[in-house]
Amino acid sequence: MRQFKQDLAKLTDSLKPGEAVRVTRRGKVAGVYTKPTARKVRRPNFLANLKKATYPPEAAERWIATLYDPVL
Amino acid sequence: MIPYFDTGFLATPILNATGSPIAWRLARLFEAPYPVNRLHVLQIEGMLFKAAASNELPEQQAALTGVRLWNRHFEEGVFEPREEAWEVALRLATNTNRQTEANPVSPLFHLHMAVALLANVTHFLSFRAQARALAAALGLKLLPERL
Repeated sequence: MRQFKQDLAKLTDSLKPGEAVRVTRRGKVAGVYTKPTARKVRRPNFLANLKKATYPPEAAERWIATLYDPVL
Repeated sequence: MIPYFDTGFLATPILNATGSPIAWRLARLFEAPYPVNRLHVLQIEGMLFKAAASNELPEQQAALTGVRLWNRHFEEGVFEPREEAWEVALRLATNTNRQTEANPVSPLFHLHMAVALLANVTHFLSFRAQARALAAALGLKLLPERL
């Protein structure tokens, strides 16, 4: 269970969609983890959505620049 | 091909920025859904909430549109929440931060890079020179190829 919690991302990457593993705690099965089946998602046209924007790009740029504020 | 979006890059599909057209062209190289982790969420939502509280009308408008698109992309499954091994990532980021003592950058860059490495990504998408330099040093392919 401890290893499962620590290595969840790695484990998920190593499994095929739909594949499952048993998670044990002190030698007993505590649950089953199944990687979700792959699904196709229709990608929206990001640019078309943004063309409706009523603000100048500079307004967005100012805020994007704050993402890596020197404080952090 | 597994992409990792720097948070600034991830903001360009929801905010009309100068990098948005390039980001759109590059994002199309990869199949949706695009993985988004909790650090992305924390940074993007923090930025949008601060912008919404701004006294400037254009910035409020940008934030409101951004929040709407951000939520919509999750609802439609275009952005997919991804859980990471944060404890391991933080340890890795602490180590790489110590290795760049002479040229310090935001610790958040190190944390993103650690998460990217643990997720076995192949491409790092970013408009930030400092983040790109770290990614290149770790052997990731950069997009755009040049700034």
